[in-house]
Amino acid sequence: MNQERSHEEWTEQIKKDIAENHIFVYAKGEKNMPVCGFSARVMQVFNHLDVPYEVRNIFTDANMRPALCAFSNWPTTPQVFINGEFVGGCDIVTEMFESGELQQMIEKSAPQTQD
Amino acid sequence: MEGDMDFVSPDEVKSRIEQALPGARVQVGTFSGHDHFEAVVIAPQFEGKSRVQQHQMVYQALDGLLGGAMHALALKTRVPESGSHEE
Repeated sequence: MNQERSHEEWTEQIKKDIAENHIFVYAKGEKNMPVCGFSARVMQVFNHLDVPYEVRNIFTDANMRPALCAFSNWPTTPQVFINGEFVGGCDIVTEMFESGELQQMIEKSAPQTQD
Repeated sequence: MEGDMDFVSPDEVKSRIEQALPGARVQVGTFSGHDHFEAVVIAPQFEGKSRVQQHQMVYQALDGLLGGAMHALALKTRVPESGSHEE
C-alpha cells in the first residue's frame, strides 16, 4: 500500500472531508464496492435512505487509517461523520437507523438547498 | 511474537471489560471465526454518555486488541434499567 501523504496531511484532509460533505464515510473499499461486511452494511443504510454521501477508501494510503483513528479516537472502520461530527461505526449507525435517530439527524442537519 | 499475540479468548475480553467497568454485566461471544467478537455491555458508568462515548469506554478497556487479535467487535452498550437488580 502506498504512503503518499503524511499523518498530518491526512488529518487535514479528514477535517476538509467532513467539513465539505454532509455525510462522509471512511470505509474498507470504494463506494458501493466495499471489501468488508461492516463497510457494506453502512453503505446499504445510506443507499436505502437514498441520501447523498461520500466514501473514502482507507486502503488507498497506509497513513490514512492511523490518522483517522487518532482523529476520531475510534480504533476500527467504517467510520461515519455527519455534519462534521463523528457518529460511529457500523453498530451505532445501524442502531440509529433502526431507531429512526439516524434519519432525524440527517434531516435536521441537511444543507439547505438553494431553489 | 506476532503468532501468539493474535489470539484472545472471549473470557479474556469479558474480564478486561469487567475490570475497566466495575459492576458492569458483560456477555462476549465470537461469530464467523475466532477473531470476530460480539459483546453486550450493560454498565452504570454509561449513564449520561452518548453511544459513541459508551463504545469508546469499552474500546479503551480493550486497548491494543482491536485491529489485532480482535478483527471486529459488534458491540451493544446499554445503561442498566433503573431498579433492575437481577443477578
